[in-house]
This record gives sequence, structure tokens and C-alpha cells, in this order.
Amino acid sequence: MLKIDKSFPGVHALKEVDFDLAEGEVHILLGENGAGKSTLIKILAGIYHADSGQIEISETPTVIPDARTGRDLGISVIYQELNLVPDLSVAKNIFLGREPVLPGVMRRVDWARVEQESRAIMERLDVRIDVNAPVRSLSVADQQMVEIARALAFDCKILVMDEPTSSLSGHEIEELFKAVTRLREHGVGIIYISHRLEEVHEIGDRVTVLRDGEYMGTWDVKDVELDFLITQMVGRTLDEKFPWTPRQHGEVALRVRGLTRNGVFEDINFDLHYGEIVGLSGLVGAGRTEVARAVMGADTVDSGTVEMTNATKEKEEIQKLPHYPLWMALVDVVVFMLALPLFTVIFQGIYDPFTLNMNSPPPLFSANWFYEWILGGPLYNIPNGPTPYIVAAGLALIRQVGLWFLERQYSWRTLVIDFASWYALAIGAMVITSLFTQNFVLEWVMIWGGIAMVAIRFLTILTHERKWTPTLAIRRGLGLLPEDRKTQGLTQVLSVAYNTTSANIRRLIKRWLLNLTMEKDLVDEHINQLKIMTPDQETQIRFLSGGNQQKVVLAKWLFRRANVLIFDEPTRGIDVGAKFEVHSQMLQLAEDGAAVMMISSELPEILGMSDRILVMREGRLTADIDRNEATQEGILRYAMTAD
Amino acid sequence: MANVAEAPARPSASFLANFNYEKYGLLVVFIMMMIIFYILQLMGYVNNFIEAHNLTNQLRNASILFFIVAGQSMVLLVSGIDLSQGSLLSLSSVVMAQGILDFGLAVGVLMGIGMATMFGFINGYLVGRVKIQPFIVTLSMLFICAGIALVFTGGRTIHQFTGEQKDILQAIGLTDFFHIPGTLFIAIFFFIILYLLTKRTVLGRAIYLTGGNEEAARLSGIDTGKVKLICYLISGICVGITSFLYLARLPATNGLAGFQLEFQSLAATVVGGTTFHGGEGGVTQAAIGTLFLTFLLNGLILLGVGTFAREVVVGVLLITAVVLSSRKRRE
Repeated sequence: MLKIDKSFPGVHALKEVDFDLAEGEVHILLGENGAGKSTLIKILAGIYHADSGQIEISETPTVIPDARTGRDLGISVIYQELNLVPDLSVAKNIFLGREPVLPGVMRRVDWARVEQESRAIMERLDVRIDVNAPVRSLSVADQQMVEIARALAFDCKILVMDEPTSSLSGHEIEELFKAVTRLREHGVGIIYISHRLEEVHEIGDRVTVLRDGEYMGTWDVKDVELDFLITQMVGRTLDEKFPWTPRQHGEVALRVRGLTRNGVFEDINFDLHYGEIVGLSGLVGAGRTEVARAVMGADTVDSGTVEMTNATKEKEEIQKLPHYPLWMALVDVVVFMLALPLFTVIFQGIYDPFTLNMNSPPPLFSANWFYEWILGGPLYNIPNGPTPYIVAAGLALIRQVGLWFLERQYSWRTLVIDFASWYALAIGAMVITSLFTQNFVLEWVMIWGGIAMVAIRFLTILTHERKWTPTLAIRRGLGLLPEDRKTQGLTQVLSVAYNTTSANIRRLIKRWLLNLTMEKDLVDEHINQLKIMTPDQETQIRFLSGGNQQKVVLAKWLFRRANVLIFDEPTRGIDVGAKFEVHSQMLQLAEDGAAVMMISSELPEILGMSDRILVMREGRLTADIDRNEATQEGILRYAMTAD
Repeated sequence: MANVAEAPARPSASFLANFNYEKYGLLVVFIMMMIIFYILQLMGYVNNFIEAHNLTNQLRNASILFFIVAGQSMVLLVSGIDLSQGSLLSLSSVVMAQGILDFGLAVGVLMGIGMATMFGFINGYLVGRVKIQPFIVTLSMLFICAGIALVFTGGRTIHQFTGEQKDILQAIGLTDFFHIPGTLFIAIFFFIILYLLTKRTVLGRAIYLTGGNEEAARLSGIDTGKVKLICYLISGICVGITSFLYLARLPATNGLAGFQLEFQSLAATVVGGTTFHGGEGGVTQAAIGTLFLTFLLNGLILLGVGTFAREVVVGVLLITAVVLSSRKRRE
């Protein structure tokens, strides 16, 4: 590939990049996020087209108009997300889309040949995978082998592997490397993209570094040190200006301890202070967004706590509530059962147990059966006085008081509502079933429906955790500007005004109803403050540009007066003007005493904006660097190499 | 706004350019339809369309239908669907009728409306809290309610009200004031309440935000499950009120009173401009859709179009409405 040049609107993705690959070599392609690796690969695969430059295969100039042609030329790409049909067998997956056909009009697929050739390929790779097993049943590592086998079945000469080891464990990586070595012996040229620098020496023959769309050079792996490669990767020009100034930091605003979600991130600990901007750096896929969402309460976590020490000084923790205890459920059942005769007393005119034919034994599971065998006497023995009222009310009281002791955060109002709704439901059930006098089926429904009701409540409370939800987080003053603002931050079909006020609609209430005049004024204020370019505030969000949409998300949190903000890739895909606006707003927020956390894949942005930098690597926090000590090399070393 | 203040003022004669077709396009179509039917009447093809008695009757029909259409709109706004409306109406009306027979008017009516409310709550609980697909939940509820209603009546019609009860019921259902049906006033009152609810309360905002983008609403701190639950609950209450008005108009009911009514309400809702995607549409659209559908069907009857052919018209109308709204979306 010679002098490949590619621009996207607003970005010069590749600047005259040269790249060559020999037969039977493993060529490692390195570069930080957004350096242009994927773009280069996609041009090679025929998904993008280069603006200028030339691709030569076996020294003949070639044009690759689309992905199919690329495949026919022997170029196979294995992406991070595997492209397999989980329910089809391994063999069928390998030959998916170009099954050999038997001669004849029907064009029947030659399944025997598919299986046989799949086996041959597996033998060539020297892996033991049953070609008839469905792909679903394989491990991720084996699925990757199937992808490689598929590439081989295409008779590929150039194999591109995009971060193949990111989801594999140590042993599986060894297996993969063996397969790669074998492919190399067969003369296949392999382009290997990785973020694990240790792998460079382990598997690579040559290494090429891209930086910011520029070609930095190609070296033999034997001749280079890792540190040298890191210095080659960083050093993106710091031509952007950030209006950063030193600030006073206040108390701890957000305290995260031991936050873990199995397989995604592990043991995340950090503090966020008022007036501070903390940058969270790391490679794409290191789990930064997931951590932000967990802090916000949008996703569940397996363990760990999030604590916000804001004005109310109230501690809210992610934790399991004390369970709805068994005895409480039993009390509920008893209360319900005692409530039934209570209601029969009330509705005596409607529901008359004497009308049942008592000469025959009561039908199984009917009300009388229940009272006779469970409570020890037929219904008519229940005293027709105040006793059942008092007993039922007393038991219910025990229940409510018990609940209150167990779950202190229940307000007395919740308890009263719980109590009332419980009995309202019982009365409702009674009224309905009372209509069906002498109908045993419905009597059955009544009794066992009551028990089921209690059981359902028991189950829901049992499985219910007092979760750290977005609602709770927002109430404590947290705000998240999500990475995917189009689908998570904004409602595209609604107006700018609706979106701006969405996080704090209550602020608009005046005399019972929302005050639309006040809304208009407040939203206008935010539009002017953030310089949002929109025809008017009734315009639907989808008609706004990316930068303006981002500003609306910011306006939403300003409107909420959130004082702990998490910006997830705040400036991705927005123009320079909006970018500057977002940066200065961020600094203004910190100046006013808000705690800000910024996730970014752009090192200059991280270095330019943060007071302190956290680095994540493969789901773990690996570094906590002060602004003065931070360098691009340092950050990248923590992000890419295990220490 | 301030950023475009410098932009030249729009030409003054641009009423047509400023007209909100999205919101009020159907109103124009409705008026045009009325004019066309009137012309047909003048030409002698249609009998008695623009005529006091017919208009009163149709307004009464429309105002009764409006309640379930409004309920359906609320559910559609949170991108759900309520298929159980029709059979729930049957159930609530037979419970109401039996209740009136057994315990008197007030208790009976409350029982019927309470019944519908409870089933609305169950729908909402299953959709909002247990998080089952709304289609499945309400389809199951359709069968459940229809079954209970038929078991309950045993296929009989309940009509044995006392003369006094009948008088009171019909006073509510059939009284006209200068040819304006009384039910229309009830509907207008209800419309105002729902309009304020959707446009001027926190809950209304939450409904639109939840329907427009549930994830974004959740991340804005809205309990989307609760919002959905309330919408289904409102739908249930609407069904209860409709069943009361049905009973008031004709003091007799049976287990098939609301048979397939959910399709009429869905049709009116969608024709009105509330989409299945949620977050778009509202009570105003429901009202316009109801008027449009009622008068169209009535006009077709008077034109001599048969029952089955009318269903074809409704189907074509629905597809047209959906195509128009999806094209609007793609722009």
C-alpha cells in the first residue's frame, strides 16, 4: 500500500501512509486510539476507498471496489466481534455463502464436501474442533479458530486480525499464537493489530507505527525496544489550546470503592473532589464507559459502592437490602386469610357460606375446604364481632412495624400506602369474587389467588435490591453525558425544550402545573449560555448538528444544576467550535465548584483538560497521575502494558 | 432563539408555510371530508348526513369512543399497545350491570369502573414492572377478560334494570342540549383533564420522554416502569368510563359488548397521528382521529357502502396513515 490518503469530514484520517506485507510474516500494526489503523484495514478490505494512493498485490496495482472483491483477492479480516452464525455447525459456518454445489439443476449443496474440507482445514491448523458442533457451543477461542479456518477456506493470502487476543485468556492466547505461527509457515501474510505491547516481541516479525494518521516507520521487531515504540506512537501535536487554569479543590464529592462487574471491570477505586477535573484515559474497550454507567446506576454491578457526599451528607450505597424475611411472608399470608372472613362479615349479604351445600364434603381447595382443614373450622364459626378486625389489624401492624425496622429508608408514608394498598387489593378481590356466588372455581381462584399474590410480593421483594438507580444518582446531583448521546442522552423526536428540562421537570412546577412561560425563559437562558444553534426551542433534536446536540445534553445537566458530572467522550464527532464551547463550559463548571470527570480517547484532550489523570487497562485502574507528571508516553505505557 | 434573531423575518403571507401539517393536517382532511359528503348530499347520493339528528347521534358515538381512543393514545405514547380494551369493556360493563342489579346504581358503576381500573393496573404492572412485551400481556388479557365476561353472563343479556335506574342512566347517556349530546360535555371535560395531564404535568413530560427514548428517559432519572404502569392504568379507567357511557346509552349489555372495539380505538388513534414508536401524538390527535373515523364510517353507511366494504376502507386508511407518518419520520 503506497501513499494511502483518506479524509473524513473534519478529520484527515490517513496522511500518505505506506505499508507493506511480505508472504509468511506477521506484521504488527500499532497506534493509539484514532491513529488510523482501522481506516487502513478497511481500505485494504475494500470497505472504504482511499482518496489517493495505490494498493499493489503481488506487485500488480489493484483496485478494491468492495468487500467481496477484497475477499476474492485473498484478503480476510477477522474483526473483534466475531461474525459467525451461532446456531449453524462449524463446517457450515466455514463455508457460509459459498457452499460447493452438486452438479444438476437443483444446485443442491454438497454437505459431504463441506464437512470433509472443513476437517482438512482444521487439520491444517492442527486444532481439535468438531466440525459438526454448533458454533454456539464453542468457547470464544475456538470460535476465533473457526474464523481463521473460514479465512483459510477462502484461500486467503492476507489475513488481518484486529485485536484477536482481547477476549482470550492466557492459555487460549498460546493456542492462537500456535495457529498464527502455523499460518505463517503456510506463507500467509498476517497483519496483526494489538494493544498489548508484550505481544509484539512474542509473535511479530516486523512492526509499523501509525500516529494521528501519519506513517511513523517500520522496523524489525528484533531491533526495537517497547519504550521506543511508545515514543513513536505518542507525540501527537498539542496544537489545540485548552483554557485550563489551576483551581482550588474542595471536599470529596464522589467516592467509588471496589466497584466490580464480572468480566467487565474489577475493583475500581477513586475519589472525585469538588472543583476538580479528572481525566479517565485508556484504550477503547478498557471499560471506561461501563464504569461511568455503573457510577450513574444505569447498569448493575456485582459488588462495590458508590458514595456521594453532597449537601445532604446522606450515604447511599449499592447494597442488597435486608431480605423480606420468611416470617414476614407468613404473617402476610395469615393476615390475608384472616382478612377474608373479615370481608365475608362485611359483605355477609353478598357472600353467604351457608348457601354452599354442606351435606357433601367441601370441594378440594374451596374456601370451606381451606377454613375447615387449614384454620380448623368452617367459615361460620368465625365470630361475628370485633375480634377478627382486631386480630387482622394487629397482625398487619406487626408486619408494617417489622418492615419499618428492617428497611429504615421506608418512610411512614410508604408504609401507610403499602398497608392501604394491601387491603384495597384484598377488598377488590373480595368484591369481584363475591359476584360469583357458589362458583367453586372462582372461590378457588379467590383463595389461592390471595396466596399467589402474597407469594409474588414475597418473590419480588426477595429479588429486589435497593439499587443505585439513575433516579437516585440524579437526586444526589450526579449527571452523565453519555458516549452515545443520540440514543442515550437525548430523545430525538422531542423538542429542544423538552430535552433540556427532562432531568428536572419538577423545577417548572408552579401552582400545580408546569409553567410553560417559565420553561421558555429558562430554556432560552441555557440556549444563549451554551450558544446552541437552533431555530427555536420547539425544534426537534434530530434536526440539530452533533455539536449542538451535545450542548443540549450539557444544558440538561446545567438545568438540573448537577454538581458532579461525568463527560463520556464529550467532544467525539463534533466540530471545533462546539468542542471549544464544551471545554470552556467544563472548566467553568469546575471553577464554580462542580466535580467533573472526563472520559476521552484523545490524549491531548486528557492532558490539556485534567487536573489528575486515571488510566484504565482491561477493566482495571492502572494509574493515578497528577497533571504535572503526566506525559503521553506515561499514560500510554499504563494503558497498554501490564506491570 | 437569539442566534437567529438576525435572520430576515418570514414573509407575512405565509400562513400555509407556517401551518403545522403534522399536528392539524388531519383536521383539514376532516373538514374536507365533511364538505365532500355535504356536496354528495346536495347531489342526492347521501341521505341525511348533515342533518341535526344524525350529527347529534354521531357526536354522541364519537364522544363515547373518544375515551378509549384517549386511553389507547396514552399507551401508544409510551410505545406500548393495549389490545385488551374491547374485552375489558365487555367485562367491566357486565360487572357494572350486575352490580347495578344487585347493589344499586352507584355501587354498580363504581364496581365496573374499579374492575376496569384493576385490569389496567395488572396490564401496567406486567408491562412496566415485570417487563413483559406489551403485545403479549394485553393479548393474554384480551382472552382472559373476554372469557370471564362470557362465563359471568353465561351468554345472557343483562337488562333487568328498574324503571328508575333506566331513567337515570338514559338521562346521562341520551340527554341532548339543543342537539348537543350530553356525553360530548363529559368528553370535553375529560379531554381538558387529559390535555393538562399530558402537556402541563411532570407525569405528562415523563410519558413523552419515556415513549420517545426509554433509555434516555431512564438516564434522566425517570422511573420508566412507573410511567408505563400509569399509562395502562389510565387506559383501564378510560375503558371503565366508556363501558358506563355505553350502558347509559342503551341500558342492556352482554359478554360481547366491546367485541373487537380495541381495533376501532387503535384505528382512530393511529389515523389521528399517534405513532407506534411512542413519544409522538397526544390527546388532541386522539380527538381528531375519533371524529374523523366516526364521521367517515357514518358517511359511508349513508352512502350505502356495506359493512365489509367499510372494513376495507378502514384498513386502507390505516396503512395510509402509517405510511405518511413513517415518511415524515424519515425526512
